[in-house]
Amino acid sequence: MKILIIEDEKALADSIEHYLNQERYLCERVESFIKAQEKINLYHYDCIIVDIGLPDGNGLNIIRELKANKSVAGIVIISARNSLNDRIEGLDIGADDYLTKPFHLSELNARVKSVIRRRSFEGNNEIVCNEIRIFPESLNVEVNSRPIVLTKKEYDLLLYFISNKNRLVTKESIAEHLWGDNMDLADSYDFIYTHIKNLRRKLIKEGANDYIQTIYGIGYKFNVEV
Amino acid sequence: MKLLTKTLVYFIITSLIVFLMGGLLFYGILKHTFYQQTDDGLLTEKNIIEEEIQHNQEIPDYSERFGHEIEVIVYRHPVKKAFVLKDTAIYDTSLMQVAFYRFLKVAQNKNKRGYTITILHPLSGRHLLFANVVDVMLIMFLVIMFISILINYVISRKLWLPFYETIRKISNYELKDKALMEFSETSTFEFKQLNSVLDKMSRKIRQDFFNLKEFTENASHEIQTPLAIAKSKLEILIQSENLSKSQLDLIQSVDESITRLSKLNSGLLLISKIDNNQYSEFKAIKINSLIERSLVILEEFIKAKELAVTVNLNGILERNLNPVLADILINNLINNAIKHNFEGGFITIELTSSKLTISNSGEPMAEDPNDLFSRFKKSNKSSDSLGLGLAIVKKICNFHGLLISYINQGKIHTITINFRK
Repeated sequence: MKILIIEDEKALADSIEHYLNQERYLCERVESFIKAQEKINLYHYDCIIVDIGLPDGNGLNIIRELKANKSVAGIVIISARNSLNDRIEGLDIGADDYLTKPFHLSELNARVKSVIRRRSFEGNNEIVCNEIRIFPESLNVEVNSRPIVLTKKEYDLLLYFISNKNRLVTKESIAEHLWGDNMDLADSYDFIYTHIKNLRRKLIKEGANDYIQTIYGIGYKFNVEV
Repeated sequence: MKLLTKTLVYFIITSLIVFLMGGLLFYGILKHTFYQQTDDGLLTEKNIIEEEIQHNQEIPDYSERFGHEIEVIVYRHPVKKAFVLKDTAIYDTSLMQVAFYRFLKVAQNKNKRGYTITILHPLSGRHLLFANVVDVMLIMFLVIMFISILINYVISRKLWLPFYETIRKISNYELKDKALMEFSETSTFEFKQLNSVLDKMSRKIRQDFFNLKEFTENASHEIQTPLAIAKSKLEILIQSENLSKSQLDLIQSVDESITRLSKLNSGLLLISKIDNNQYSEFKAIKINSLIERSLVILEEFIKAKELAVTVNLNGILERNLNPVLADILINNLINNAIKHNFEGGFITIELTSSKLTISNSGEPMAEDPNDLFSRFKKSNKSSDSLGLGLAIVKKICNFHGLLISYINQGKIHTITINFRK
């Protein structure tokens, strides 16, 4: 899987590359509009992460060019501007997702995975993690081929964990993933605990391993390697 | 006191002094002339009489001539020379009153014989003169007073019109308004100058105001990038093996601060964007559906606090609002009602076709309820909140011209938004 990171902030691009490399993605990065144009015309990528505010051009034009070239690459916009108009425009011209800075790398990773999955299997796919099988189309989950009933939040949580398996995922990033802008409501961490407790119970009940590991109360790890 | 009234008062005082002095001077001059004439007449008379005495040996009867009372006495011996010219008062027995006269008495000698000439000229005209002068002066003064008040009135109506117009424009002007202050044309130099200076000044202030706003917005955007970098580095750091609990706690605490900073930043950015009129698209928005949606989104938080939510939708409230801001408005209000509630408390939402009322239970306000909508004012209860939520609510209400009010009765807090028609 090849990913192109178009981001002029070197330090941020470093972090993204580092995180995605560990997911066994092949990352390339450029820091300018011109270089991005070169790359997208020469090579094929599965996913392109593009910052809108480049010093020498608007990232939206890269997306327009990709679409004009009938590229099938998934596109995730990362932008410092949290404006609805930018978001709508970005998604209108064909981006798959829009993430506002600052974001959690685990969130970006989950979005990139989801975009690539949708692109490569046109939605008719399933995510398999040992005995757990997720069908994103129908939002169904099976453990050892037996369906289990999860709430929407539990489902989101499971998918988020599996996207970031073997990683420490902080409570904060989970809260933001589940509740977005409403996460600043006090006690949202307690809800996470409840959701995780329920999810773990449902998985174990159907014979799945106990993958979810609590790390000192600062976050969780979906440990597949143990 | 109005400038015009002030000038009028000064004018009246000055003209009073001038008229008084002018009157005195005028009277003095008149008196002088009058005496000169009277004296001239008396002297001429005297000369004629002297001449007659010298030419004719006998003395004619000079008891009265030219309205003068004349008395000529010729002596057979010389007299002591004398010349008296003065005012005198004589008691008139027939009229029973004192009459004033100009009195000339000359004693002269001719060929060793003396004679005296006494001439009296009545001075009644002098008092008449004085009375006339006072009258004329008084009339003139009144006329001038009347005219100046009239002119004053006309001036204030006409001449000062551009000035009052300018004052009105300035007092009605709001920096946030898109339009510049436009002053009407005037032919008066001073007002032209005033308008041009005000115009220049307001342009400058406006420019600075918008520059500052733009700066705030740009700065807010720029701040997000380093925050994003810091956050990403922490996330990579946290993946390292062998981190101790205390190290992870430190990292988490830094990460939370960054999140807080970033949220604070986007809150301020939102306020500044509203100020900059960046939410100028309006759509017909049904508040009813916003409330229903918001309650669904926040359902989990409501359940967790075991809040009893009562919703009375007594009508459909639909207004032209910016969709993004309307969403934030309702969400923030309900969010707020949940956040500052007791476990097992209540929330009552009432909606009519023009009014939204949200009441909730909660600790009584410790500070001034008027500060509720100020930035960074928050009750110490949930100190992890940013203190921007209600400031944003207020901003959104102001932006749409909605009236928002807050009442705290003990443990019940009520926020009412009047959407007016």
